[in-house]
Amino acid sequence: MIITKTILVVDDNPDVITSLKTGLEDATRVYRILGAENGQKCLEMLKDNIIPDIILLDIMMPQMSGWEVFDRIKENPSWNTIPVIFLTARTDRIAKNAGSFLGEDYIEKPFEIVDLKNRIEKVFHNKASKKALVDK
Amino acid sequence: MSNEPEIGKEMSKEEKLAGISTTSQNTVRVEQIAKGSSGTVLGVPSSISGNSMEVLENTRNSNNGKNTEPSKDLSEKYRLIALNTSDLIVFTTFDVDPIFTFVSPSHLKILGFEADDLLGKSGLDFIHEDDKQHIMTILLAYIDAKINGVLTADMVENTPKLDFRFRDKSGQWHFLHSTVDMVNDELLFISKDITEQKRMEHELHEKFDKLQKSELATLNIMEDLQNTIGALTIAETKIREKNQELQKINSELTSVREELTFLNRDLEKKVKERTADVEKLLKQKDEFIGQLGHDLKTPLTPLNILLPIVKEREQDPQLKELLEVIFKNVYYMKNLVIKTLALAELNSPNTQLFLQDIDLSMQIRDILDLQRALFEGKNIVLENNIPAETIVQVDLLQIRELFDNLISNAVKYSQESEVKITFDAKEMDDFIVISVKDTGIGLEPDQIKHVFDEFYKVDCSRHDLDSTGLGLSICKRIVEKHGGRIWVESQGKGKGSTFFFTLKPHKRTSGEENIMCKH
Repeated sequence: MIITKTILVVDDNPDVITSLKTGLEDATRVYRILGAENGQKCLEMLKDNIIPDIILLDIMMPQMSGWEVFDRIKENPSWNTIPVIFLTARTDRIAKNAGSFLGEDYIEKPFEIVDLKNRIEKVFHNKASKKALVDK
Repeated sequence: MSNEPEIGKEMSKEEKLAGISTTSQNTVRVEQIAKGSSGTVLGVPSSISGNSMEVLENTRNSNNGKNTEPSKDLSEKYRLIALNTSDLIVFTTFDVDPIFTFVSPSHLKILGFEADDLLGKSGLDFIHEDDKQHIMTILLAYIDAKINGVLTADMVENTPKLDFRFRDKSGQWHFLHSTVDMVNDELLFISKDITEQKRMEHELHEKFDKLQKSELATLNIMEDLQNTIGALTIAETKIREKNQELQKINSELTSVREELTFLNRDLEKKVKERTADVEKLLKQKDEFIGQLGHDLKTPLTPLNILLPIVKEREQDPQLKELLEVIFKNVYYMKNLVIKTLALAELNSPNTQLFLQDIDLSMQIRDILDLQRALFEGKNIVLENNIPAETIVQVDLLQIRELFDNLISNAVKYSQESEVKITFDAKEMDDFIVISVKDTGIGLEPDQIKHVFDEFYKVDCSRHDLDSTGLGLSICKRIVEKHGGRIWVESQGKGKGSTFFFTLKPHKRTSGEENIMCKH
């Protein structure tokens, strides 16, 4: 199997990054998982031209929240096409709604790895069809 | 006094008609009765007392200052006066029972008699019964005094005056006012008919009586009025007292009201404070639950991801079995956390619905697409019979949760290897009734009652790690929040169950259509 997609996981809990590495990378062997333990690191990686195919973004992080990181990404023309799926442990509706409306999708922690994989694939699929449409 | 002329010797024509001769000094007797040309019967006295003459003559003399007329002339003059005066002149015998000896023409004329009717008859016969006693008393006293010569000066000066009723020919009573005098041996009655006067007097009396009565009535009315005024005054006083009482009560009430207002304000303030406290506490509770949820879910995430992988990779069957126990418990804990938090959120008064119009059929398709992936390895048939373009106004996330719960519930409670879940929707009245039918184990009537209760598990004896007992409670809360109703029907054990719930259909108003047209 060839690794085809790069996934950047931004979460202040390193265990989440580790588990996703194991769950997505090892299990499927089609994803390469990159991790950033906070918003700052994420933006630095992007600035270093490490452009992932998708970002899994945690909302509640110290210093810089997921919303702020999302804004920075969308502000930048070279980054704003990167799809974002919010990962959230928050139960309040504001987070849920904002997550689903702003980003491509959102998924509530704790999630099933299969569920996450389906959502990621759906985003890729949608992006591909859009691209195909634009190319035509 | 010394002159005592004989009147009887010089008789006129009238004397001839009614000849009268003197029989004695004391009595006048009617000797001859004759009818006059006018039909009037006249009795003329033959002798008249010299005393009377003298009185009359004296009066006349004093008036004229002369005393030249002879007695003969005087007699003729008195006779003419007696015949022509309008006064009623009567001579009677000098007696207690006086007999008429002379009656003047005026007397006859006024009373309707003829001379024969009266002459020689007793005067008392014509006097009213009630007046007889009085007249007789006076006459008796007078006669007695005259006879005994004890006539007082006063009696001479003021001859008796009599008021009495005299019957006329027709039987009518006439009031007569008479003066009595003695002329020779006869009584002279000179009377005036005062009937008219009496009548007028009577009328006057009556009028006076009436006036008195009316005055009395007026006085009575006045008295009544005064009484009324008195009563009114008393009433007014009472009213004033009552008024004062009322004012007192009113002022008391005002103070009580003020007190109440104050207390009310105080109470309102306290209620506001308490409400604020409660709201603050509720907010704190929500924040706490939010934080707790976050803190519980975060460590569960890597556990949930890694445990299945570790379990799969483990080769040692004993260890694999232990990992399975760990996995089950983590899975249960995860579900419990998710559902408890979901229910807490639904029960919070601060939770609002984010309503939007969704095509139910399309949403079910999306949900089923995601769910199918979770059912890998199980033989589950999902059938969506919901008609296209069934538009409902709902909170999308909650509706997804509702269907997730109903589907996982149907899968959980099926013993057969194959489960068929059918979705349908029907518009009924103002609602859309959605049904989720499964071919699972079904429900007993007793279970149907409690199936939506929190932490209710159909099989209590089993330590069921698959079920939290909260899924259907969450469903119920979601449907209720949308103003709908949820219920379950089952033919009994082994015969499957059908869950029904109602949702409001979206109704487009003209205003909305306009907005949509603009877009």
